[in-house]
Amino acid sequence: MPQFKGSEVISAPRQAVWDFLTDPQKVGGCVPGLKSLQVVDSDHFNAEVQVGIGILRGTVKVKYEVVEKVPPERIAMRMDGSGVGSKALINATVELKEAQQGTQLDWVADVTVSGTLAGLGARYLNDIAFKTVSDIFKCTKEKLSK
Amino acid sequence: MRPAPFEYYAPTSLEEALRLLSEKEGAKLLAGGQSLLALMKLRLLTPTALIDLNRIRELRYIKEEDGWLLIGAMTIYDELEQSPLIRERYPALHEALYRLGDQQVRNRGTIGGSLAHADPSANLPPVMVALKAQMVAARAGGGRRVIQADDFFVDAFTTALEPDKEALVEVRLPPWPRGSGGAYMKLSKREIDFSIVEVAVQMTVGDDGGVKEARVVLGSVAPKPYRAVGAEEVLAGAKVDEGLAARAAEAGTRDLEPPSDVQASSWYRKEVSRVLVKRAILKAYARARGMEQ
Amino acid sequence: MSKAPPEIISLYTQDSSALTLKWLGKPLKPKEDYRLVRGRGTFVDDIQLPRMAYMAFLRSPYSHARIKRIDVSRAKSMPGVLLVWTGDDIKRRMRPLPQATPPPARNAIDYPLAVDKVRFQGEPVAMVVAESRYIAEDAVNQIDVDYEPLPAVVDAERALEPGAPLVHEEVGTNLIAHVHYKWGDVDYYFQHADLVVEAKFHYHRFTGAPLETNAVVADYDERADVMTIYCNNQAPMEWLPQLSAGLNMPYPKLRVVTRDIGGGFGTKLINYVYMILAALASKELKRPVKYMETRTENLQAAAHNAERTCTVSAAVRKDGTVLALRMRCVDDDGAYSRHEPAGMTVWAQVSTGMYKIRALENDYYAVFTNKCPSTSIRGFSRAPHLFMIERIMDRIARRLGMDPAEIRMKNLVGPEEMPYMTPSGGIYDSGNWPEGLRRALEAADYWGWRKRQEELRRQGRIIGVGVVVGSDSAGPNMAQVKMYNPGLPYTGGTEGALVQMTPDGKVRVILGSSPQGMGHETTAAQVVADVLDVSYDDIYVQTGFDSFSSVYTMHSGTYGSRFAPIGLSAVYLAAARLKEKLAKIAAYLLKCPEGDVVIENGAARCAKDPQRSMELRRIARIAYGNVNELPPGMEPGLYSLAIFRPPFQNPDENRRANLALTYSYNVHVVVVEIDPETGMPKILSYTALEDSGRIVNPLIVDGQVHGAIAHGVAEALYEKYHYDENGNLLNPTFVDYLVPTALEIPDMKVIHMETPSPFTPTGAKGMGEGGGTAVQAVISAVEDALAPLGGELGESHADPETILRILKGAARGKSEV
Repeated sequence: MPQFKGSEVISAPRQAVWDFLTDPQKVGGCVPGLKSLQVVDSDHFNAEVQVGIGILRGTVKVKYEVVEKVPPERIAMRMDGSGVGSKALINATVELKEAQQGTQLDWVADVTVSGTLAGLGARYLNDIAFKTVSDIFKCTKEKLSK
Repeated sequence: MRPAPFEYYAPTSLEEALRLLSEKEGAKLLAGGQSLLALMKLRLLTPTALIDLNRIRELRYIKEEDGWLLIGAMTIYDELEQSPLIRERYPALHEALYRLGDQQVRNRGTIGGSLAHADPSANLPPVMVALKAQMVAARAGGGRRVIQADDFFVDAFTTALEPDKEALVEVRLPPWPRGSGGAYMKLSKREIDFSIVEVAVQMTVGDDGGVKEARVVLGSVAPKPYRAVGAEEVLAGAKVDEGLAARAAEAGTRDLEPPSDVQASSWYRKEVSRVLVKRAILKAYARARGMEQ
Repeated sequence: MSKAPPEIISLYTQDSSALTLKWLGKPLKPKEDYRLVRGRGTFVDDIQLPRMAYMAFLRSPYSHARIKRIDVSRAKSMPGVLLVWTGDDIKRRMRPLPQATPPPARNAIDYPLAVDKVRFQGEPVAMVVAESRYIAEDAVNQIDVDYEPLPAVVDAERALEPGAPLVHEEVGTNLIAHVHYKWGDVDYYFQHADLVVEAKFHYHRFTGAPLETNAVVADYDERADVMTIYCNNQAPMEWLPQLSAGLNMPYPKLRVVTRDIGGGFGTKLINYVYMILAALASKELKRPVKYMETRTENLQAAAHNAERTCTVSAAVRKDGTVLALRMRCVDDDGAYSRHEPAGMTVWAQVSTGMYKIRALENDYYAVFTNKCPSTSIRGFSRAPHLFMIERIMDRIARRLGMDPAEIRMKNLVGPEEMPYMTPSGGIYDSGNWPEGLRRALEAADYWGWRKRQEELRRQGRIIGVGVVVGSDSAGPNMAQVKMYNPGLPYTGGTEGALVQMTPDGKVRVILGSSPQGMGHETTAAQVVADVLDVSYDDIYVQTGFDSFSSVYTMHSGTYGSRFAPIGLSAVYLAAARLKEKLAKIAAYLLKCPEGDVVIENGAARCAKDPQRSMELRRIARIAYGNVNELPPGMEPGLYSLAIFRPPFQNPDENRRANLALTYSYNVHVVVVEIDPETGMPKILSYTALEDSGRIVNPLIVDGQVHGAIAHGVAEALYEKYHYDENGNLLNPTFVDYLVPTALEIPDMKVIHMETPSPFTPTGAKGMGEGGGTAVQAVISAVEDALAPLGGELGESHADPETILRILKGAARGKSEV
């Protein structure tokens, strides 16, 4: 699976973006298709998520873990998803930079899918993976820009 | 290969179906079931309920009205493929139906089911966009609206229909003037496969041989049908020959970034997109000029 | 090498004097078809037993991972769930499956459910048995497994490199087996060759995709302590040791039954893992347990062929004479050694193909990878062997500027050298191969196509013509496993049959085979009818196999194209012995000298006095009921049991041995056209000549030829497994694993030669697998089309993208793309 990238410019101070992204309740709330969220501690949460594209949606259990924090500029996270006979591992790194209009958020994500979906969903997986990750940061931007 | 548990409803009227759709959370409409049931058996989809539209006779028809061809959403492919009206007036649609699945699929699959499913590799969506079809959406309580094919397909497996509220009930094909013709071409390894690349072309040609209007639409190269606007611009006003068709194809496919999958790479899809667009333009043009059926 | 020595020829030559040739060769309607074409066959899924429960599996999403924890609690508590087992539960109930591999690969521990680690995607990790298949699958979804993913090894050559991830830690290497043989003075020929042609080829991964997937119903009878297993295994008796070890039951307590089987193509040899699991569950629950594999499970995790990568070198004279071959090959056998590495040495005698090659060096490695275990898919082992030689023949021809047909003609074994002994000791039984090639070329208008190819190329059309000669070698000598594991107590190749004339004069036949659509009921009936000269309609052949009533050996089953050469030979022997007994009784009753009794048209008569005759059914009645009329001392009844044993021997100290009983011959000529802009290939013409010895039933022979061509075309152009670098199988459904339909399969012209084999009593040779000739022919044709542009194909599969890349590379000086 390829690497995905994206960036958002958020009209909020870097510290505010940092605080948002390190609060499991908040960042969890930005996972698209969230059905339930159970915060374990400041670096971990478990969630049930409806993932997919258009009408193709399945319920996936996600374990979220912060694996590295360099305040207030860098955070690395790992999301373990399992469902529909498959496993997905997303390793994402977010870099925050001061920017003119607020904060520049650059993200990179490596996605590995194993199991049924890797074969059956091959045509759509790239789209789904990209959307899922980029929606988290789009949502971050939206919530902070309000 | 057994689906997860679900409730099953078999309404006999459209109104009843729409009411169920709005009431049952997580329900899905079942048309021909050629995609839905396979996905459910693989448990990639687990709807809480199926609302089977197959007993709703009012959704199955092909009729003419004011020069338009109106097709009920539950009309099966086979009936459409056999229709002389479609074969004569909309050859691109006829070809897309002829090359759709196998006979068993054509006996069950429906036009509405396919379009609402919006698979990026399905045969019919690019044809609908090329023909400037209109989609009629209905909701419980009698509300209806018309969506242009250009706006209907939003993303992979995503349409402009409001989820859990609207159903596609009719497809309307506009009359194309005299001097019009179309073509559909599909590249796949086996005849029954989803396409690697497909293209639908519809055009109108003036008496002087110049193209008055052309629509060139590709499938399988993007999450939704891809209007090859660059090709349409080259064709506008032009008299088509091999060289011009090649230039149009080049212009129309230049910006493509098709997906890769197990059947073909992005590179291959882009290469053959150019070839298919060229060939489909030449065929549609010949048909518009009355030189080839 | 040369004609076989006379003592070998006489050892192998069979007596065929009981044949009347009245019923062999007739296009009689297959006995099976009446039920099969009406949908009235009995397949495993048709078996419904009272209180039957249903099994389903949780399968691994990973190709390689450690199992950290399995939580089955939610699944176990679901209503309707009867049993949930993981690898640990299985481990407590059975010994690991016996390994046929040499050390250290023998240390691999193989259980039908993964223990501690998963080694290929789709490997069963847990099983559920429930009141319905729906409940079982719902429960499977409630099992949680924590995995620790491990790096996967998916490339066979990389698997041998130091530091590669180990599929089985306890083995310490990914090497399953290695063999290195030299037959003849290979070095001498390479030193004295005018040129050496070398190339590397990959034989890709695919499967057999039978209509019926693997299935089993296990029914434990507690009262009798008998386990009945209804299955669709192709050779259930070959796996008695595995079943007995798995169930801890002696052989007489294991009743294994097959009925109609919906195709096998080799994929159904290793489904004994399901048989064991269903049987263990049935024993635990005291209820029948059914398992029916889904299509996705079948494509993902049932049985693939072994991939093979070879570097082939040929020592060649300027005139096109091929003197010697060197092959260095690596077989990718997948995660477990359940049938392989047999394919490495099995049929090694055909690695020189149909040619008079003087010396051969085979350096073969078989390795574990994190892919689906492999087995013997149609054309097993000979197809990849012959692929290598046929591809190198094309390359040699091109290097020398010879026509591919000419170089083959030049090197083919001639009829005067038959039976011919190959450098490795194979004995090609009979045939006139150069004549076969001539006839095939003529039937295909080969030289006409060569001319048209030139003309059309000038018009910008890309045409390719492929011509390939192949061997459909059949009836294996299992001693070939000794070539990689000398300690294995498994040699020869036998089959049993029982022919009984019942008291009404009809004939009942029971076979040791378990056919999957090959028409054994038909051809066995024809042989019996021919020997006894009774009506085909009066012969009743039992459907399928039943270890409680069939006559079997441990070779019994239907694989390796063994029925015509070995199974029918057993039928012939049993019928011939019955005929002798009938003649003895008739001589006594007719008061006719025994040598004068003629059995003909359902009656026995005395040759000297045609008035003295009696119908066989009268003799039958006497033999069973009116036994005081029998000759004094004669045992009553008309049972005749035979087990045919070909005079196979173990490999000698130089590992020379004949490893198959018959060698059918075929020539395929294919014409393809390539779309220059899309790379899409299209077959314009397909001609196949085959000589499978005496044809028992031409309808069945033609059907087998058609099937083998369809399968070969499929492999060459449509069917290919794609694994990604993490060991994910990317096409485990019929949406993306492209089995061709009738629309893709070309019209075929099939022509026959009929050279009876001296090594079988019926003269029939095994056939039907086709030896992969169709794969080679199609690839040969595609490469022939690309060759003028400098294109070469390194694989046994050519898809339009590969072809277009070659075309574009050629057009652009191979730079970009």
